[in-house]
Amino acid sequence: MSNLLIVESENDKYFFEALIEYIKVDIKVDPPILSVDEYECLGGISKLKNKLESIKSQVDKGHVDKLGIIFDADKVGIESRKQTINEEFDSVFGSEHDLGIEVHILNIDGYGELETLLRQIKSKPSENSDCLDSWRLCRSSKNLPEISDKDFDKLWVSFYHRYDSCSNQEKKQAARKCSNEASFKKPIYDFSMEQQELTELKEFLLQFSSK
Amino acid sequence: MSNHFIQKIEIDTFKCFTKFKADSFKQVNLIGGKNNIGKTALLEACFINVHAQDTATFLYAMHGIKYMRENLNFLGKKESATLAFIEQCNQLLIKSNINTSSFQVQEKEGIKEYTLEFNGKKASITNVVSGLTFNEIHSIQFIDNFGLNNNDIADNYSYVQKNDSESKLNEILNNFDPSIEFFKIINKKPQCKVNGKYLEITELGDGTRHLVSIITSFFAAEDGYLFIDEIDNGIHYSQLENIWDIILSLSKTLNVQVFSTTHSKECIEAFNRAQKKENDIESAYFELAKNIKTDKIFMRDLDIDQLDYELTHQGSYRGE
Repeated sequence: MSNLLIVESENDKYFFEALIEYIKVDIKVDPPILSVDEYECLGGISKLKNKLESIKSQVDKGHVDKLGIIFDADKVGIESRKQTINEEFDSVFGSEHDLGIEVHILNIDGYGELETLLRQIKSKPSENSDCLDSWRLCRSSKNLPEISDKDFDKLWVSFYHRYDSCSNQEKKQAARKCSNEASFKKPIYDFSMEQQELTELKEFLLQFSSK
Repeated sequence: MSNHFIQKIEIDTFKCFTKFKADSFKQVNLIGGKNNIGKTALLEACFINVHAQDTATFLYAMHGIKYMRENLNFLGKKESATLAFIEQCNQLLIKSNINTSSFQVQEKEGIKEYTLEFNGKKASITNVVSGLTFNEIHSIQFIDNFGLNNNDIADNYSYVQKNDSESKLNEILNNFDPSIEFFKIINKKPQCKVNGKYLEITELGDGTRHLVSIITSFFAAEDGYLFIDEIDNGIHYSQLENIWDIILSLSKTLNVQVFSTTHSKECIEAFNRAQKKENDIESAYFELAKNIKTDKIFMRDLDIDQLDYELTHQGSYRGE
């Protein structure tokens, strides 16, 4: 059986690789074997139909038995996002198919995106990135266009990786050692945290891989 | 699209295909897929289907593909060998929106009867007859991965001349390789004037021969079909987009439906870039692939947008 997990972006991919690696290590007794064989980076929901067309050919070739889709709730919320995904899926696969599909929507209190969750589970001090709050207020005082929560959270995570989680030595090779790819391999997020949305996400991955 | 274009085809039996269906063919079609998946066989099935207009043209098509595969010239071969090759198409059944073509061999008391169906008609011949006739339809051209031989290039060049398009051919060749000044048939041999001196085309690279084969065949195939196996064979990647531009343009000017195959990612990328520039000609890329569980071959079409997406998002669009 081959399970294929669709995520939205390269950053999401690096995060899920790290989380799945953690779950593998953490499972001690009779663990379900996580076998998410491959990631597909979607590059935004607007390209979901293109991605599903591409996946359909993998299904027709017999390479994929089960499909997982993990998307951000964004501003539209969980139900609206699920409806969009289901509509796109039906338009590509129709009603007659043998493909198992599981969908999970990343959120905090029903909205938001991966970066919103990352801010909640960070495990290192974040002095540099927290200063961005002052920057946001400063922009507001100067009547500059408002930064959306989504963009702000992405910027916050980027600063957290670059300035709070990267040593001076690493900064000499910042492109390689302070990138998002490199940062998700560092112990800068607490995957063991008792946090509701993180727990739900881990349960989804375990369930997805074990069926 | 012109009425004579193949839009869909069903191959009930032919080589690796059983119960195979393909539709959505456009004016210019590029087919990709793994080795031995049936790309060339699909071209051959389409070629036979449109070429089978009567007994003589049907026999030519079945016979010709065998010889093209082996890079032989079948003229002058013994009739017994001819029939042996044709028999390899036994149980052929190919339907398209253009024609239904079928071929069967039955043996009774040592006499083989060959039954052919085409264009709603039926014909039978036996292996005891002699003087089989083969007729080629010049507006249905097939270029195998070796390119055309000298005789075929010379024949097809006459259509370039009839179209008063010698300068067009020279312009294309000069653009392909600025050292080529002219193309001519001298003493029945295709020759190019390179740096002031005429050289036989066999002395030049395979790419030049392949390009000359493609361009001259276009003029021979006016209002017909052009099948090109491994279109990028011998051609440098930097020339591929230019060649696709030429193919899209000539297919429009000469009203030719094109079917071609490739293994090359660079060729598919160049095709996609050329597609985006040419709004007047319908074109599509097709992936020929096999289901590893059922062993069934299937084909999917990728429009311009989908092909662009898969090329830029690490899609698997070549049968992998």
